This record gives sequence, structure tokens and C-alpha cells, in this order.
Amino acid sequence: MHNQNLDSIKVKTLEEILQEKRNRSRSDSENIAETEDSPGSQFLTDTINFITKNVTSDTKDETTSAALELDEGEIISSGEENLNHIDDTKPTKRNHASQNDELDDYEEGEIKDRDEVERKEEFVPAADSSIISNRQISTTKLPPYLPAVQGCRSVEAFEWLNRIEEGTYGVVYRAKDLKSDEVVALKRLKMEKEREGFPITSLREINTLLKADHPNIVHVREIVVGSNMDKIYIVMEYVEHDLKTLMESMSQPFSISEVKCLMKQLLSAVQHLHDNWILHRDLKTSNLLLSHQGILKVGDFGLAREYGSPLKVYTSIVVTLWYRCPELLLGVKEYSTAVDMWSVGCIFGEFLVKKPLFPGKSEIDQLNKIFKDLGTPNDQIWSGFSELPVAKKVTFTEQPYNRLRDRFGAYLTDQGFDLLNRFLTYDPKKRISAEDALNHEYFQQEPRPLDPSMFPTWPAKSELMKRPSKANRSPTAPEGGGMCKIAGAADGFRITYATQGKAAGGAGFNLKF
Amino acid sequence: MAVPTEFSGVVLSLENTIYPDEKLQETPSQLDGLSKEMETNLRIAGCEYIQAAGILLKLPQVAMATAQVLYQRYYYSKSFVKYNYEICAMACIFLAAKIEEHPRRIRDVVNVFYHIRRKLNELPNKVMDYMSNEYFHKKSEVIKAERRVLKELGFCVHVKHPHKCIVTYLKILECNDNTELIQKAWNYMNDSLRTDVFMRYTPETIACACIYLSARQLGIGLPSNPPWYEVFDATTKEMEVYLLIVSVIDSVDMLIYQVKYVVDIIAS
Repeated sequence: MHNQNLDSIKVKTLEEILQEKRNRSRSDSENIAETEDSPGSQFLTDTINFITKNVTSDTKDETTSAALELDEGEIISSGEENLNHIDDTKPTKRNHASQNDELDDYEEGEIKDRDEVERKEEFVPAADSSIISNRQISTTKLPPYLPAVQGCRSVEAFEWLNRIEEGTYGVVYRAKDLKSDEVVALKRLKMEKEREGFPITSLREINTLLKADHPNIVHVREIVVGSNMDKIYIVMEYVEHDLKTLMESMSQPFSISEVKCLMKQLLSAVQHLHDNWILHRDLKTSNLLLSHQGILKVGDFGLAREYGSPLKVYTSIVVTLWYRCPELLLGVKEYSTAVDMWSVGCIFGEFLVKKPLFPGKSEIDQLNKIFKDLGTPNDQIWSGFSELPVAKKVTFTEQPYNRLRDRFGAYLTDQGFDLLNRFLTYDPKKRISAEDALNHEYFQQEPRPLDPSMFPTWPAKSELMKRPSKANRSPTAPEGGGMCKIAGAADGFRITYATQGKAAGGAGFNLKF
Repeated sequence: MAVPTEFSGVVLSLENTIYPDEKLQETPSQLDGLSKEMETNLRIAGCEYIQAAGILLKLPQVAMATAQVLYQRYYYSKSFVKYNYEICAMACIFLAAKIEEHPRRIRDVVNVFYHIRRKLNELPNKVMDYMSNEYFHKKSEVIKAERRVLKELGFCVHVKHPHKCIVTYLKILECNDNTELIQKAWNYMNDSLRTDVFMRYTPETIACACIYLSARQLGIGLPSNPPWYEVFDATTKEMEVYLLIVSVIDSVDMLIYQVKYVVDIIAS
């Protein structure tokens, strides 16, 4: 949202300048104004259009400045943003905006409010400081707090409520901002055994979360530090449920229109990430949050990172096992957005039947489970399959048929099954993109996706201090690995139970047990 | 810095932070009694250190650029008197290497700075003893400084650089075949990292100024009616560009006196 606001602000000023220019030349010499100003502004508009085209094609263009001794990937990604403000017509942005119109409408109240607040508080990085202060004085009484200038706030600005969960990279707490009284989620970054200073993974997480501002991605408010700087917390908006725990508490799976509603929101978030050159690399139901307003939000960017063109070699040990795509399991090192799309397919299946689609016990078991349902791949359907590192070493039992339909007979129409199969396509090059998936016929079919505001609500487990049962937990994401078990509320936090929490007061619950 | 008790809300921004003039005029170091000249020298020395270390660590230029901007910004929040500039320079290059996805081991960073220091003092090459207290101490100092940098800069540490702007703008101005011009603009941009222009202007403005300076030096004419740079940064008034140009020229002049001694010594 920051970006978008800035965009609109700067675009306006650009128009203003054009206007000013017209006015100026009119007053300067009235008789020739009409003829003289048009080439000038024509030049401006032409150039702007040129930049617009140029930037979009440029982002993927690798050949530009080889001589300039700069790492292309980095500059391309940063340059793209540098220029963003100029090109209000950049196709990806606009698409994204129009697709979100729908979502924005759903949550009109919430999102618009936030929008407005931010517009008022936005720190405009214009060079003229007098303009900044004037603008701030005219719109808000109090200046905003700018961590970039004033430093991080202390965690003491929050009151602890309770612990919610342990993510891949840290523990998450529910807390209250003492200044605004808002309930937030505080995620403590794991720092203990870092021998190389501040972990690069946490830097990536913070950076990608900040860049990926979207209604369906959890919003980062700020980063705060403990008194000794020994503890660092990401302050995020508090969202009541995670979908994994929620589904465990439900006796029946989601209805088809509920599934479609969730999938549309998930795809919209994934599309936004991929448009912004971000791979999530750990999509799974326990990382998807659901608010009481029926808004799905992608969380936990502990494994996310930016990617560029051309692709570079990244570790193939990413994505939680059950949601990991076959190319990663087979040891491919060069991968892209398709890894997230496979996870989306697994999540789709899980939404439908309330059970994980491929709950493998090991990497080989995972592959076997996939092959059992989808058939063993070969070079015809996946060119280059036999050349993959693991495929060269291991021979898999031949299972020639795709039997996935048997598992979803009752839940899926032919269109729905087609979509599922496109997510679970073996060849990553042929796998469907988030954008195409959003336009898939399945979402046009009856029953239509439910409006998020109509989504049923459940009491929030995360406010009750109840930990998800160990047995049903999906395996943890790689790298961060070995969960440390910290006992109870030994850290001396104040604990509130539901009698005081949001769940107790929330009227109009539609209990669904 | 004391945390103000009254504010309307916390705002994180991905844009480069532009500091108001007051903050640039009255620095924490000067409040601690450091002279303006000395502060400028320390800023330049730290940046030279970072540049030299980055070359030895085989980092891409963008990592050095980020490190130098972080270093400069940090000393608008903290004082040179209280926080050692060399440790901070180490922390900045160490952190920037991670930010730009080219991480280097802390041991290598410590060692490279040790090497540069010995070179400066004209001592023979020697590898630092990894079991020594000196190494252990340096290492923990750097890790602490890294966290301080992150905290003081509110984790808004992803810097936008004008490099890409320069390339794109020159393409639009149809000068992208002129390698001399590109190289000159590039050099101006890298030199301007030693100054506070990144705290004063947007990357777009800096790119424009670098192109302007190089074109003028090489006698290349660019569209002036309307001035070409207005197209690239709508928020830029002509004055700003000129102010920036003056400050870049100042700093380049200053650099002539300062001499890039660190890099020279290493090159020899």
C-alpha cells in the first residue's frame, strides 16, 4: 500500500507539472503559447510513455549494462522500483489493482480506513523538507513516527497477551500496542545460534514482507527490539486463525463456494508476490491466516526470497515436505514461481477434503505418494525428467495412470479437476501461473465464490492459549528446522483468557462444530 | 535519540529516507563537540574503507554502495565520538553484503580490515590470529554494531540506487551508446556516495545530476526546453538539481585533497 500511495502522489505531481508548464508558457507569451507548448508537453508525455514501455521490457532484459561491473539481478530489481512511480500504466500493477478491486470492495471498511490513515501519515520522501512539513501539518496534528529516521521502538511499547504459535523462524505472541490499543502479533526472530550476525533469512523475510504489501498478505507494522537488542520482533497485524488449525476444528470440509473464495484470495496474493519478483517457498495451510472478516492472508515469509532473471541457483531444500513440488524433490537447483503453484495445488486439495493431499514421511515417500496418484512421470510428459539428479539415481515403480480423480469424485466438477491438475502438472514450465489460475473457468462456475464478508466465523483458538495437537501438525519447513520446545508461559507474560479476549466479546458467531 | 511520546502512527517506508535539513545540519557528532571538518573526514575515510574492503572481498559495487549509504545514515543518528567509525564500517559492509545477497563471512570482513589497516601503517602482511582475543573482540564488536545499525535505521536498510536510473535515462536520451558518458556518470554516482546526497535527494534526482555533470564535462548537448531532467523526476525542481550538483562538485574537489589513499595503497 505504501508503494501504491506514493505512486499516486507522484503521478499527480507529474500531471501538475505538465499543467504548470502549459500555464507558464501561456502567460509568458500569449500569442504563441498554443503552438509552442504543445511540442514541449508532447515531448514529456512521449518520454513518459517511453519510460513506461522501457521499464516493463527492461526488467527482464539482461544485456543492458554488462560493461558496468554491476550485478544485474540486484540493479534490475531495485531499478524497477526506482522507476515505478513514473509509470502509472505499468501493466502488471494495473492488472493487480483491478483484480483487487473486488477484494477491496469486500472489505471496504477495513481497507479503506487503513488506506486513508496511511495516506495522511505517509512520509513523502521529497527533497524539499518544507513541503513535507507543510503537508503533514495540514493533514495531521501529530507527526508520524519514522523508524527509518528515529530508530526502532522498544518492545516495551507493547503489552503481552499470550503466545500463539511457533513458526519456522520464531515464536509468535499476541500483544497490545499500548499507544493505540490495537491487538497485534509479535513474531520473535530466532537469533540465538547466529554466528554470522543478523541472519540473512530474517533480512529477507523483513524485506519481502515490506515489499509485498497486499490485502491478502499479512501486513507488517514495524520492527521493535528488546531492551538489550538481544531480541528482535516483527510487529504484524493480528489475524485470528490459521487455516490448518481451523480445519482441524471443523467437522466438515469447507463448502465449494468457501473453497473458491479462499483460493481466489490465495491466488491473488501469490500473483502479487510473483509480479514483484518474490518467491514464497513455504506455502502451506498453517501459513495461511484467516480473519474474522473472511480475509485470507499469507504469512510467514521465513523462506521467501527475491528472484531475478536469469534464474540463479538456490537451495532445493525449501518448502515443507508435503507441499514440495516434484522438481525440488528430484534435486533441481534452478527453479522459479512454479514451486509456489504446486504448493497452491496441494492447498486446494486440502481445502476440499480437509486432509493433506500428499502427507509423505520422507522425500522418497513423498515422491511415491505423488506418483501413486498422478502416475510416474516420463520424458514425454516432462521433458528432461530422466536427467534430473534424483531421477538418475533412483528407479521408481511404474504407475502409468493419473488416479487423482478417484480421490475427489464427490467434491470436484470437471472444471475444478482440470484446475487441480494444472496446479499439479509435473513439468514446471507447463504448470499454470497464478494469473491464469485466477482466470480459470472454475471460478465462473456455480457455485460462485462466496463473498468473504459472508464467510462463517469461528472462535479464535489463538486467543485461548491452546496449542495445536502435536500429532496433527504438518512437518516443519526446512532450514529453520528443529523446533525448540519452550515450556508453557514460563517467560512471565501476562496471560488473558477468552473471558477478556476478543473471542469472549465477539457477537454473532456462527459456530460450526 | 529520545523517543517522542506523541506521534500519530508508525510509518515504514521502502523509499530511501530523505532527512530534513535540520537533521543534516546538527549531527550527533557535532553536538558531542566534533568539528565539522573532522566529521566530514571520518565520513569519507569510512566510505573509502568500505570501498577498499568491498573490492578485496570481491563484492559487487552495489554492496559497497549500500554499505556506504548505511554508514552515512547511521552517523546522523549516532555520534562518531561514541561509536568507532572503523567498527561501524565493518558492520555496514558485512550487513550490506547480506542485504545484496552476496554474504561474506564475518571472519573475512574482520581480516580484510585488519589487512587494510596494516597496509596503511606500512606494516608487513600478516594474517590475524583467529584464536586471539583481538579477533574475538573485534568479531563481537562488529556483530553488536550490525544490530545497532539495524535498530537505528529501523530495519529500512534496502537502499535504492540510481545506477539503473542512469542506464535507463541515458537510453531514453539516446545516449546509451556513449560509453564514455555512461562511465563518467557512473563515476560521479560512486563518488557522490561519500557525501550526504543520498540523505538529501531521491535516486532519480541523483541520477539526473550525475548525467548532467558528465554531459556538461564532455560537452554533450541534452534537450533543454523543457529541461530533460524534469521528465525523470517530477518532484525535482531545478534548484534542487543545482544544489546537488554543487554538493557533488564540492565533494569531488574535497576528494582530490583527501586522495583515495586507501585504494591506492592496496593497488600498489
